[in-house]
Amino acid sequence: MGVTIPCPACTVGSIVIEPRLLATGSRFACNRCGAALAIAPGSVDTLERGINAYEKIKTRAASLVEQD
Amino acid sequence: MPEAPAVPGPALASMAQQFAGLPMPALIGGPLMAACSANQQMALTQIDFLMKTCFVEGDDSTDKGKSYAPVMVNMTLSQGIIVPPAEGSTNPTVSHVDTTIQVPLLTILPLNSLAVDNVTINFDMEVKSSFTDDTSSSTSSSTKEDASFDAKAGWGMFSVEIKGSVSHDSSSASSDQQHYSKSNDAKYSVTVHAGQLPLPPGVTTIIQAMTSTMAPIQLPAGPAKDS
Repeated sequence: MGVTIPCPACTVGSIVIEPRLLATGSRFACNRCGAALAIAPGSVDTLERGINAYEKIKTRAASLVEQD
Repeated sequence: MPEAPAVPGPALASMAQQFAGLPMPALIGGPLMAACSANQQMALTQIDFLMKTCFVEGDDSTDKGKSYAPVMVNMTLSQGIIVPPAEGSTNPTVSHVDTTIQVPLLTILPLNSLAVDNVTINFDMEVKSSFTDDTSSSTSSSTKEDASFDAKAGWGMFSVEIKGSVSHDSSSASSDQQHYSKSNDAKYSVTVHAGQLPLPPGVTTIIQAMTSTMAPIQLPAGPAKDS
């Protein structure tokens, strides 16, 4: 479930982020300038809450399809 | 050409009558309504996720309306910077600078619209009705007759002996078979496929606006502050 965002450093390249890996401390680099993004330690909880909520709606959506 | 004589027997099942009683609106509309209901529930779930997870209610909410602020996460951007060579040196150096930026959580999560995008309804119905009348008869007859005569006469002791035999076999068989069969066979299948739909334009615009604010801006040069 990768997400592509524009590079904040060069604004030309893009950075593909894997949110689950990002929450574990992984760094993701720009494909143009090499600048790397990592989650700040103080925001790990916020990111994990968001990922968990996203996983819940995915499960919920899958159950709705199965009920149909 | 003379018409074939009508075969007496039970009436065959009427095809029109068989199909007229089918609840076609329910057969077709039922799965479609269920798919619409599922899509509606999924959309509400995603809206709830967006508003509760990616936004927080602002303090300036009034009775006339609520304001929401995006949930931000801090990220560290590491990039190399080429430092001009110092005096007396010709080799520039590369130093790594870490910058803390705030990124909306909305731009990091892989939002998508998951919805039922294909509903296939298959309904096959087969009505069979048949009547057969088989009549067969067979008769066989056989007759076997056998006779013998023997006479014997003698003097002194008078004796007469007569022998005779007659046999007769006869057989006949007939059969009449009537067969009437009627069967209804129906198969009803609904295939539902859910896929990812493009995000609504409004949500895409919000994400693009937030993403564009991630780029650091350069402040104009000012007088250096004494630390």
